[in-house]
Amino acid sequence: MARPTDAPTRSMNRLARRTERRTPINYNETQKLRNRRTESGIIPGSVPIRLSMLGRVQHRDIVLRAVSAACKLVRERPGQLEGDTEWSEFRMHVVTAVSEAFNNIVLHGYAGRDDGIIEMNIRPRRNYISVELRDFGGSFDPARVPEPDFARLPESGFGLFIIKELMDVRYRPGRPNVLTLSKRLRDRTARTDCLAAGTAEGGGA
Amino acid sequence: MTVTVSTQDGGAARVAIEGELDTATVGDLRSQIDKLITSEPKRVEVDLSALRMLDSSGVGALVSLYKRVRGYGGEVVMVGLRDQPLAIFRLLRLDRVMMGTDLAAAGAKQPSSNH
Repeated sequence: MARPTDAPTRSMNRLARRTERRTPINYNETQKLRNRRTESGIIPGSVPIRLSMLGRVQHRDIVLRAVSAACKLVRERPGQLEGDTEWSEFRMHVVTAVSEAFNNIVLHGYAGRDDGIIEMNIRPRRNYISVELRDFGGSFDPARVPEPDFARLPESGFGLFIIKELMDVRYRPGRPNVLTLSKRLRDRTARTDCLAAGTAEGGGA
Repeated sequence: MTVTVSTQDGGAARVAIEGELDTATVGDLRSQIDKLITSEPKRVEVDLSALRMLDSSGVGALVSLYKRVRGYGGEVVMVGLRDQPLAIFRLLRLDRVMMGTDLAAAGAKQPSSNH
């Protein structure tokens, strides 16, 4: 019987145990895992763009550049790229949300440890993108994270709110935790319309 | 990220932030703010016209600056926001509290990412 594509493999579990023991992670092992998956044809359809890295703040720029570049593969019509307001807004939302998600894993999931691994799968489609982030750090329940109390002018707690406002979010806690962010080009909700048009309620000084 | 702090006559100060204000760079801004606050300037203008990218950590530092200056009776005005940082300010409803009249002009611009 075929194993579900999102189920952790033995190699991933081994990686998780190594992360827990703070032992160095052998990148060849993640490569072997990928090769085996590909050879066995487990991944249906097109192969996602993949990155694997240690969860360190210094690595975030690499992640964001990859996501930004992947957004260039997403377009609703030929030639729709930079200069197109809707596409620029789409890319800005995706990059911002992924940035916050990466921060959350590094700062909260791994709580400052610098030896935890993060795997990222990017799936750009014609008018759609999904970005999956996998980690072996602490889990959380997005539904139980309160929204910022804006009336109190808080100084933290914005990250998940920003992510949810800008992209669709799915989260599965476990080993690994799997956070999937997705967005459709031209998926313009009332809120993002306000952002784009600069007409957010009370948007004046 | 580059932070330039200049003090002016009459107890005013100007803080110009360029580049990306995020988890990786926010520590520099916070230490500069700590130094600035010791002199308790009456008015602080924060120029964000050259800020390209702002994340929630950066927002936290700006809110902290705002609250600390207001705490001793000073005034803070944030000017020049555009593109992604302006969108974040609006999303977090900070434009209603922390922005100067400059926002009205900036609001006519469409946000876009320079990343």
